[in-house]
Amino acid sequence: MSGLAVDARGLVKRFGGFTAVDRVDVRVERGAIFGFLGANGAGKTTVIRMLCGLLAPTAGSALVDGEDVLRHPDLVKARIGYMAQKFSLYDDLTAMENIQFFADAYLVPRALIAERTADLLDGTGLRGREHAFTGTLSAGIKQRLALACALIHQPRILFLDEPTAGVDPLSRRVFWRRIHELRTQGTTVFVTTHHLDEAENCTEVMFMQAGRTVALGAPRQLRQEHQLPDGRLPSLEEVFLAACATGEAGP
Amino acid sequence: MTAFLAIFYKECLHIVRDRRALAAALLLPFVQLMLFGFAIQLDVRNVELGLVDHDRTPASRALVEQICADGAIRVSRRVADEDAMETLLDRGIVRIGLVIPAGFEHRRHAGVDAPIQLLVDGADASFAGQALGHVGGSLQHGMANEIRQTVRVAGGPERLPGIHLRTRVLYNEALNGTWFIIPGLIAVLLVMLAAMLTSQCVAREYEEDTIEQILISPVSGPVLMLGKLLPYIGVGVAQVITVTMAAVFVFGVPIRGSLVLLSIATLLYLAGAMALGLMLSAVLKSQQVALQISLVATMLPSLLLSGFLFPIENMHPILQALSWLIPARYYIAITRGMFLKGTGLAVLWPEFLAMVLFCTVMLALATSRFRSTLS
Repeated sequence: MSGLAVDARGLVKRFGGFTAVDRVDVRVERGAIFGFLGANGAGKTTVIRMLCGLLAPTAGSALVDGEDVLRHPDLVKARIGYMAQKFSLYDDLTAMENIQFFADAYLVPRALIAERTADLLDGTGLRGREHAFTGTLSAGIKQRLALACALIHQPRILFLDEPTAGVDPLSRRVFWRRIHELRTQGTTVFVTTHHLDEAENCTEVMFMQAGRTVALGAPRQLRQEHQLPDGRLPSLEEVFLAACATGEAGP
Repeated sequence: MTAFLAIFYKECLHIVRDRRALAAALLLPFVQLMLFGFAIQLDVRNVELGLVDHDRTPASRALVEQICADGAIRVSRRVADEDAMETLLDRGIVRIGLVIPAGFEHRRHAGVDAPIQLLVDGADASFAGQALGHVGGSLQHGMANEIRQTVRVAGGPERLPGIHLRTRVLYNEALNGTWFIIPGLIAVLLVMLAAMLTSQCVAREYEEDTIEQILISPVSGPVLMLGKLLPYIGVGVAQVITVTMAAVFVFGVPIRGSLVLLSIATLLYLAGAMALGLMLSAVLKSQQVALQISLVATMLPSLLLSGFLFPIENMHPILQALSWLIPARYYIAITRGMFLKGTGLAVLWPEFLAMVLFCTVMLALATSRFRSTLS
């Protein structure tokens, strides 16, 4: 069994003549917060979907939690949590009904559901709104609910696809505090984001552009590698822009 | 099992929460059965006859009486000449017209053939055929009586040996067309509504992006499909109960077969139609498109190729072959047997078998067409 939470090699995904993901390797240490950055259309969502078994790669292989995603998608699915880019819970169900549904869908034992639900309601600040119809909740609360649903089966690896898009700064801070808590409990977090300040929270980041990896490393290490001529350390944003510029120039 | 129950319960919540859709699903079949049941009328009944009587004699009056004897045809207009009659027919005020020329009685008494003219609006060919048959039958009946009378008067035998046709109509004694129509109509309504109901439920998950969260979970395709199917079967059963009650209590259609067998047939039929809807929903991924396709795929074939309105034996061989694929064909055979004849499994087992097959194939298609990955 691989010691890595995610070990994907040479992932390629073509849609017709368009290559969305071009020979991408992804290695994520257990317990990491892996930040996955890139412009819109860089191929981030496609990579995540391939890692979760939602999309079959055109070429390449992926081990997630030591299991081959292509060969044993069910083993992988049971051990990962996933929050899609678009809100994807049922608006006509209450918050509790949504949580209950995913608990049952993931075969969480009945005895554990009540306890976990209580923890999640407290941890995500949903308490008090649990019997409201999901459609009536605000974007920030909906996002917390989606996280609660993704965590009900206590996944070992959590995939978050732009979880903080369209969420206010305060909710974002609460959200990231939660991510760090999860990490201390041993969960590996794989997160895509557009916010470079959020990337600073990650133990490792990977920049993608036009389907390829253009930079990879710990935030601090990346900044040091791209040290400016005047000796100043660049911000991650500057690193990102520089990496994209070299990426555009071609390998 | 837990995952199945999760889907099942969630789907029940969706159904119950959408009050308007639920109300429509429960009321629609009843309303439609009422509308169509009263509208589709295949019998010769209340036929309006236009009359031109140039003869105006006891013989001509007796002739009209003869034609109208059983009450299916009645004289609604009397006009002076053929031109006026044509106007009546053109405008659809009457659908058949009778012209009795002057000298009708005279010719008859003189022992010469007396011609009369019958004008029929042939725009509705099946009606025209039936009306012609009806009038012809009445005339022959009258003439046979006359011949007997004449022979007797002429000193012939008291009873004229001939062929006496004793007709006994089975199953639908009064030749009540409604009895024949209603079971077929129920079959068409059910398959249509059932497929339309389920055509929404997978497509909606695609349209509202909730499908991703399902696909990522360990819930398998078959579990998802069955979990979605069963709650809708519940809705379908409610529909069946309302339309069956209407058939029995409003239209007076008898149920002579086993109610248990009828229920089993209905469940099979519903399940097959709903699996078809699910399959379309999973393949098309759009509620709008799935709704339209499922409507077209169920309504037209069930109306035209099932033997509901047109006998299958009269169809082109290609259409006859196609009709084997239409579940309504089997269900109509079963319901007509059950409602009217009291036929049992001994006779209807091939139909049951065909429905089991259809249901199985559709379920297999629905689950296999539904991929556990996004395209």
